[in-house]
Amino acid sequence: MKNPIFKTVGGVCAFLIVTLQANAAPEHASQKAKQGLSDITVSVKGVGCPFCVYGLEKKLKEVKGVEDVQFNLKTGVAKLVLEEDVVPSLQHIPGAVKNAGFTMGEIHLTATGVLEKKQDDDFLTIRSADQTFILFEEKAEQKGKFLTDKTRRKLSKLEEEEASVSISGSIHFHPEKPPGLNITKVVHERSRSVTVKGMACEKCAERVSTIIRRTDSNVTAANVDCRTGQVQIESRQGWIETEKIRQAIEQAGFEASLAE
Amino acid sequence: MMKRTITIVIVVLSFSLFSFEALAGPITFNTALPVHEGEVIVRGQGKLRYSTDDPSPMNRELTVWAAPTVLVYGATEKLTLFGVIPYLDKELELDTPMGRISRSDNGLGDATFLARYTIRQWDRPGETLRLAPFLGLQVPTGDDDESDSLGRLPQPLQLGSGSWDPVAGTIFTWQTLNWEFDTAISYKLNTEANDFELGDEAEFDLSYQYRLWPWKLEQEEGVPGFLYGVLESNVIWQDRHEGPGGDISDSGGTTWFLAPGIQYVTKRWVIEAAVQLPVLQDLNGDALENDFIATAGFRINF
Repeated sequence: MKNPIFKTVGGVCAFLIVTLQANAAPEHASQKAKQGLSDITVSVKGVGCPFCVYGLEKKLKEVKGVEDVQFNLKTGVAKLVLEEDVVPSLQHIPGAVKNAGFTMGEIHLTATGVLEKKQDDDFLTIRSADQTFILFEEKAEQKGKFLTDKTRRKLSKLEEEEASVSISGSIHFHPEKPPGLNITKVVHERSRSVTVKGMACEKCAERVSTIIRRTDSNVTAANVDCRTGQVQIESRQGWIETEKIRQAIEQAGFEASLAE
Repeated sequence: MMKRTITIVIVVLSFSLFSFEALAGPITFNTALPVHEGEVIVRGQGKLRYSTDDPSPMNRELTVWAAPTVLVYGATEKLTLFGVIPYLDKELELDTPMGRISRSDNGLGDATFLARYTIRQWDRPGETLRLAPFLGLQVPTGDDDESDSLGRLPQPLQLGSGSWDPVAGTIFTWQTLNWEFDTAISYKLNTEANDFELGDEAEFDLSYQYRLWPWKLEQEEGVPGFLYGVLESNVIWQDRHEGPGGDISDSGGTTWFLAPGIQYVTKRWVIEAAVQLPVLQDLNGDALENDFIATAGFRINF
């Protein structure tokens, strides 16, 4: 005869294990889709000793949105630490370096945001936290174009898919125009939201997450909130098989709709 | 009669006196390195000038303590303003027919105001070359009519000159992460006051400083402090002083100092020390020669 106590304890343990697994961190850390500027560095010419650095750091900290400055004397590069939720005034950085008594080299940054086509598809921009940059490549500019054909195709596809993209490069300021971003690196961190109805518990959430990963092997994170029904999907590629995922979730007995 | 004789002897056997430049870093003269717009630098120094090499039979010993305070302000990134006010303590001992006497005075000396403007600037990563002329005026803020029991102190012992004296010059600086070279030339036009005129002064300065520590600058380090070994050269020419009777023969001449020193520089402050040792002294007549001038100081930026 089976011991009812062991049966009860075993059931409780199984429930706890499932619950803990459901609450465990996903295999890839889920990252909320983000917009904004990061990794802002300014190369400065003319700084040859520590005493000169103080004035430079002080002037850069006066730029709106800059919380702190970390200068490397050997490389001559100042790394800007930004204030949260404040759009930095990039256009004031060259003036800050000049007022410190030095000569500015380049400003490098990574802009994460969405792509937009402008002026009858003539050029692409990235809009990142209230800042817009015109995208270009120096090698294409020499041929009278903004972008090489290969880059244009890639970015156009991402623009059509409304992908979240991170683009790194150096800033070039133009009077009365958005600054240009000379592309050195493109990382398309695709993010999409799906609303799933019918999830009753964490076990359902875990099941939905598994379905998403099996349907699209490029998904890096699927953050499922069973209480709100919101699913945040991140992919290492430039697109997500959203329609396939929606159908797979519905075949599992839930109701899925893509967020606007 | 005796008092009058002593006064004449002191005036005749006067010694060369040059202003204490406290503008530098280099330690003994100024630099063309930038001061950012709105920046304030406070520089303090302690200087000891000791002169006992007396070619005359009077066995003179001159001890001058000076503590100049310099306030530096970056009006723009190219225009820098300087204000220098020294505290002076001067004492002269000498043998007289009455015996050995001492005459001294202490207090604030003449203030100097300067403006330096960068006219050329070549910047590269970790390196800069700058050319900056300057113009200034020494104003008679120090007492120039001090006296003691023997009467009015001779002009070189007075704290102030009583005269308005313009100064002009230019500085060139070449700085890299490993070393720095500075050179400057200047000319001070001393004008007359109290029937006395100090001889005009011209100065030619050189400085070379080499980073001793950190020996190698690593990529990962942010802004470490730098320890520099310093060697400076100052060639100072002064014209003869003029008194009521014309040129004073035992005054003026040329002195060449070499000044080894050491300097530690951080982002916010600098400490430094140097000793100016006379390599060559070609002074007129029986002018008192220098033993050394020692300087120690600090700088803080705000």
